Amino acid sequence: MEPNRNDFWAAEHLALIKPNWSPNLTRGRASLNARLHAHKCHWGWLAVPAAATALCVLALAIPASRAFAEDLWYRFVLDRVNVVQLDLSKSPLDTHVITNGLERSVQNLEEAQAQAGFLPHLPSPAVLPGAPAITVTGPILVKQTIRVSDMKSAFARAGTFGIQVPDEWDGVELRTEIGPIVTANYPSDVEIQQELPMQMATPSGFPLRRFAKVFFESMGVPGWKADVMARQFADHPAWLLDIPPTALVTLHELEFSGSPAFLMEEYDPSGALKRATVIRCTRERIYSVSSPSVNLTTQIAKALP
Amino acid sequence: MAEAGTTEKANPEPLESIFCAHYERVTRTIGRIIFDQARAEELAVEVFLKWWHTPRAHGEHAEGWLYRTAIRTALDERRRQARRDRFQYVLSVFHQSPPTPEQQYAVSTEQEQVRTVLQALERRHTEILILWSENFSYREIASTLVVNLSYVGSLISRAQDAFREEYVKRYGTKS
Repeated sequence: MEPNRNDFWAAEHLALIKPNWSPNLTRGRASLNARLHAHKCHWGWLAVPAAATALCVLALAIPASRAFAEDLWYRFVLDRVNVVQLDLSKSPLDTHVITNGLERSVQNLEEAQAQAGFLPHLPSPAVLPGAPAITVTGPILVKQTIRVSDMKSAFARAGTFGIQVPDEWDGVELRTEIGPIVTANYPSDVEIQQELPMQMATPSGFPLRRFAKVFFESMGVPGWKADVMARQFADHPAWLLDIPPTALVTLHELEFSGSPAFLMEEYDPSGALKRATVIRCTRERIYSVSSPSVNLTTQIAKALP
Repeated sequence: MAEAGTTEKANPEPLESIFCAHYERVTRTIGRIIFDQARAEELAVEVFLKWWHTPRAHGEHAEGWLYRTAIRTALDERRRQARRDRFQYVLSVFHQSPPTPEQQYAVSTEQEQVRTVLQALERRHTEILILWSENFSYREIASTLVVNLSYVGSLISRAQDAFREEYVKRYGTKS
């Protein structure tokens, strides 16, 4: 067969991704043997956090238990997004994520509904043609524990002094329940993720506003601004979307059918658009729509109910 | 799970022999899509374990099944990685380490562009291009993808066209 004009071009480009390392057969065999023998334990280990999450949900679902649960925890629904110019990866909270860790492929929307507990919304084929691959992930439980010593260290790093962190906060746990998350991947590199609003729970009587102020200050936010942010957060807790100062991202506030949204454009170091993501919150759903094009992303986000 | 129980009790000799014969090539195939050697090796092991727990994949079509599954596993992993990155970025409750210099370098290079384009193509085109670039013969490609040998040449040609078209659409004609 005659080589076509793209033969050399494709070969040259595909040669770029040839691994520059050699697989290690000895390590591979050791890993295979370990996995063969560990296989049965693996499932048991995964089942523990899943069971713990299920118990938590179950306790809240049974009316007799609900009052008891409310005695212990105060729950907030996070149905809005707030953007903060902070790098929350430097948060002094001790974070522990519990999930079954599995991304389950499903065949159709009905199966997704059975797994996720809600019927996913997808745009019509007129807006976005093609059949998506659908997966369901989670639920995910995020536990964040306050460590007073870590918060004091964070103040020292931020160069802030004289702020009191009550000792009784030490060991207090904040919980956020996320998902299940339904993800639809379209052939045109479009991804739609959706989930019900997240839920945050704090111990009953915990002074959320005061804590939020101290938390923001530990992240280097000046006192007056931390106070404003803390008041907003305590009045209507939000999912905090942080934009670190070094991120190559621009952000625009939008509104679709009366619900707020953010358009996030990510760029590569050469200034080319890598990806456009719209995060949109309604009372019933949080959507994240992402594609390589701003127009396509916004069109799809608008088309969702 | 019932299948797993059956195979675990069985003689693992077939697994040993297919592992020794194909581990390196399967890992290299995955390594074209996944940047990280350690992760590529882990995924290769997963592919062999999956094969071991899938009796219908045993027999004369075992090799084809292995390489198809390897490519799909690598593409799924890459998609998961991208999703995890976006997800972790968006859900800031997850503590995300700053990118290593190696990661930053990888993102800015042409390798990453090639992988991104392969990810965006129809899966069949990606499979053909990966196998072709890994020097699989036409016969091996036909057997792996379960297509007629006489079609392989034109399938490769179409995949190359799609690859170039998508690459130029995303990154221009500079390269």
